Amino acid sequence: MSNGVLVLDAGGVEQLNTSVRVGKLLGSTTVSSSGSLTDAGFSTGTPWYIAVPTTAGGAPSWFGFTVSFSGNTMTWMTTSSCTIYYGVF
Amino acid sequence: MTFGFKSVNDAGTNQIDDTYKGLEMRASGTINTSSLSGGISFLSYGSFTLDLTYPPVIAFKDGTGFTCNNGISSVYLGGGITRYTIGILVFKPSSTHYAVTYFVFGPPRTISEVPLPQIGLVVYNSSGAITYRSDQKYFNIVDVVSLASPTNELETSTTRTYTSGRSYAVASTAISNYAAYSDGDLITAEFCSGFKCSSNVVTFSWKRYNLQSIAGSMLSTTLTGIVLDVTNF
Repeated sequence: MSNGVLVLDAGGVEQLNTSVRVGKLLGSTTVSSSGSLTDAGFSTGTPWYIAVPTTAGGAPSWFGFTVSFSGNTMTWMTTSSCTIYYGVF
Repeated sequence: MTFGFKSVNDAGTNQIDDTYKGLEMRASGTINTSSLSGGISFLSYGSFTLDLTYPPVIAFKDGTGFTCNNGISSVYLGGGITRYTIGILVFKPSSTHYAVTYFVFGPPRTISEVPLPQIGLVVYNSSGAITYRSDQKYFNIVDVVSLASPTNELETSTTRTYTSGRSYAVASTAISNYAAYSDGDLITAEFCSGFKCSSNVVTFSWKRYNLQSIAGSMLSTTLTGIVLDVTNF
């Protein structure tokens, strides 16, 4: 490492160097149907998202979920209630 | 940014600043899968439970089979705690048992939840909230990979090679696809999508087991996974 930040934990193990891309969390939202949201932060990097189903009960099951990004707007379609974490990296 | 601390990586992207927080790793462990009953000899299944105050983001690492995030169910236990049950499938197994490493990520915690370390780096924003602390492990994204389902063939895959000497895991952006239908006592899988992390090589794969019929509705025809750097996690 010739420049930049190097972060070690208390045990001396490297946690961050110049090549690491830390995923930034812009926010989270709980949804039950299709929709969209706009966040100016999407323009600051490459968007990412994770959808976690939150419908109670039953066995683990698959659900349909798709997302698209256009500019600063994230649009989703879902078949189940879920929490969407979203951000940029 | 007019004040404070900022670090930029070698790709020119902000790593740490006073603006954004990141998902923290809350836990990790290993789940052992076992063979499924009902005639699906090529699939291995496992599940585990987590009692949490937040919906978990789960990343998996397995170097032998293709791990499929098969679903999450939840039961509210009271007191702000929800029990999440996470199911996984491993397909293309060479044996019926797999040890799959999982990593659980969640929203960043406050100082009252996790006291500050005595050494290291802590970055605050102008409101006094912490945006980075060196005693935590974060959702370090390397890549976002999408793979469309096969249409007129039995299998499709894509492979990515990352920096050697590092360790990688994948979080599905939604539940990976899997479907099965029951024909009497015989359960037959129709398709499965998942990923495999072997050293610094990550492979995404779709496998169709029956080109003649697709049971149920395949609402998502794209497997998308976030590749994470989990070196030293």
